[in-house]
Amino acid sequence: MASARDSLKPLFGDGVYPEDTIFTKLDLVSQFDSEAGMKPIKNLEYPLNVGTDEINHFVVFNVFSDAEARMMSEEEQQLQNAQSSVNNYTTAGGVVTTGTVMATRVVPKHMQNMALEFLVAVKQKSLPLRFHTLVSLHLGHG
Amino acid sequence: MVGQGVNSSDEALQAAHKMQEDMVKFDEDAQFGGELDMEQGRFTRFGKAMIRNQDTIALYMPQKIQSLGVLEYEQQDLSVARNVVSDKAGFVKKLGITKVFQAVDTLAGIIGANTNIASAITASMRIAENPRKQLNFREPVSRKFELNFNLSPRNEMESVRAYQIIQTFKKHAYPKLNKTWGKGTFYNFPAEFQIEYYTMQNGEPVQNDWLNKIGRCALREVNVDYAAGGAFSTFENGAPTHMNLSLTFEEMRLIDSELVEEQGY
Repeated sequence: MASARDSLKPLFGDGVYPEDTIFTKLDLVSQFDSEAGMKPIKNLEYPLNVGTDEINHFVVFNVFSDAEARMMSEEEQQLQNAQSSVNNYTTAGGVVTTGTVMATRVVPKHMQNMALEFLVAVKQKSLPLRFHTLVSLHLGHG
Repeated sequence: MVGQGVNSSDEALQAAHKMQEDMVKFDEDAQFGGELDMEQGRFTRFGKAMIRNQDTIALYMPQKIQSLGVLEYEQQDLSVARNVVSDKAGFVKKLGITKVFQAVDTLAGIIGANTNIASAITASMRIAENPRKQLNFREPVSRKFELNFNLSPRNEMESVRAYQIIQTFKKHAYPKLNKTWGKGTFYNFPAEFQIEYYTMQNGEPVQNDWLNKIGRCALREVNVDYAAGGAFSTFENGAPTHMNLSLTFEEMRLIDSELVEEQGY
């Protein structure tokens, strides 16, 4: 008889869904590398023999949350730093924009460059893609 | 794909540009749910949590599995519109018999006299206004799902697992303090839950399509009774022997007829 962990494997762990099975929409999760820099897998079943012949009907709760949810604490810190930097530039941009038309071109460009530098850093460090989304959103591209 | 190293900074920059473009495109696709749903007038929610957490929980089927669909209707007084369209004579008489005297009553009320002439007239004629009420549909109500689980661990491992499950549900039900936009000035939204029923068939978990599907849900209530056996009892290590975990979920968007017919909600 297969163990609970064996039989539930397709539902658990890094077996990510390519799409939202309910609304059949693409989910960002499928874009992520499940190996690099993720929190340890936390699959919980109760009782321990759920998913075996003994308890063959069960209900599964998948949890969806924000980007931080899957990050290691170190990644979360990096993300916060990056977000703070972008926020500071956004504030600076707002102040300067009121001064000159030139500033409205320079500051967003600077922000763009900064974001790209961050993206490159993320890319080179093989960090998950979600950073890009958040930075893009802060820049108003989302 | 994420996770691949890039050698030169130029290549990395190009890759970053492309990735950013792809992400913007992907975001648009994800946010608006594709052409089909747009045609049907069904859009993906604003701010839908898109990242699947590593936490996944499987629990035995609870004793009670209910799917309650509530639709909200409202009784509305359509007498004026109905009389104007279909019973103009009645409309005029109504004005003469009741409304004129109601106006007199109102004026008398200003000087403190409680005349009630309109009521006296209708009472003496032994007639009452027909409000011509009609039950009008307002909206479907978001569905709620209340799931109760009795947790009676048989060994220490199951005690630990029960504890972890309770803590995980609670952790995801509550919001996180946002540390990006101030120091806790805002909350980050709590997690969302996707609930699916499964049945083992030939050793493989298969989604049970005989039961209704459940859309993305918020966890509205997490209640734990640590003395579910009637009295508080524990194992030697202090872990409770009987617990009851009560979860109340609410669907985050409203169901329409097509979702029921085509997708089994």
